[in-house]
Amino acid sequence: MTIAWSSMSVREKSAWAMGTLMVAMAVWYFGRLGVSAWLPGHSLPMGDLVAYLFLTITGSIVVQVLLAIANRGEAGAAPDERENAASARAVAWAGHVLTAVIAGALLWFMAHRDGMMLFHSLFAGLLASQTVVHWGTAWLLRRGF
Amino acid sequence: MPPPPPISNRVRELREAQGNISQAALGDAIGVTRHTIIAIEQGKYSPSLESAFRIARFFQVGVEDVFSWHG
Repeated sequence: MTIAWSSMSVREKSAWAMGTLMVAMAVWYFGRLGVSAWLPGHSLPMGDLVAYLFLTITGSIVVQVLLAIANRGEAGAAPDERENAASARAVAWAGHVLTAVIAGALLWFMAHRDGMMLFHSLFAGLLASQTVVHWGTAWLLRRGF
Repeated sequence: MPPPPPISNRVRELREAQGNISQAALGDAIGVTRHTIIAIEQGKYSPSLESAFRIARFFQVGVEDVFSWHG
């Protein structure tokens, strides 16, 4: 499987770029948080959460604007049947990931009554499922299905 | 790589035989992107029944003249 940026549709470029942004921001956020923040007794890192949201939203806007400028003719078009099908399949995969994380986090919470672990696990699950949506779509469009 | 689908097609051959119509022009005519036409020609994507009929109608041939089932 070769990945040539110039041969990709704007939707595939967007999916690769957004997935990469999600992973980069997750690494940044959880790197800042550190391991000890997951343990009981710590308060919610509101400052880091707000910074994460601000940077992710700003980054997403920048990525989409740059892609729209670089692919003027294509960017405004509606997705076609192949792009919709790839996206739907990736969303289904993401649903499985999110379900597994939620189930695991709830079981952990019921056993340990650890709300901080529950919060961070659910947040990580959301980020993971969003990454699966983006990278899954990109992978399906590249590989075929 | 996923196993190739049990459907082959002659889209590229028909496109070239009818005046080397571009992938973008064919895509515009049937309502998909150029990248989807490329994926169909490479056997990476099997189009919907509706798109298969649109492709056949575009080339003024039957669906089975464009697509073959090897299942």
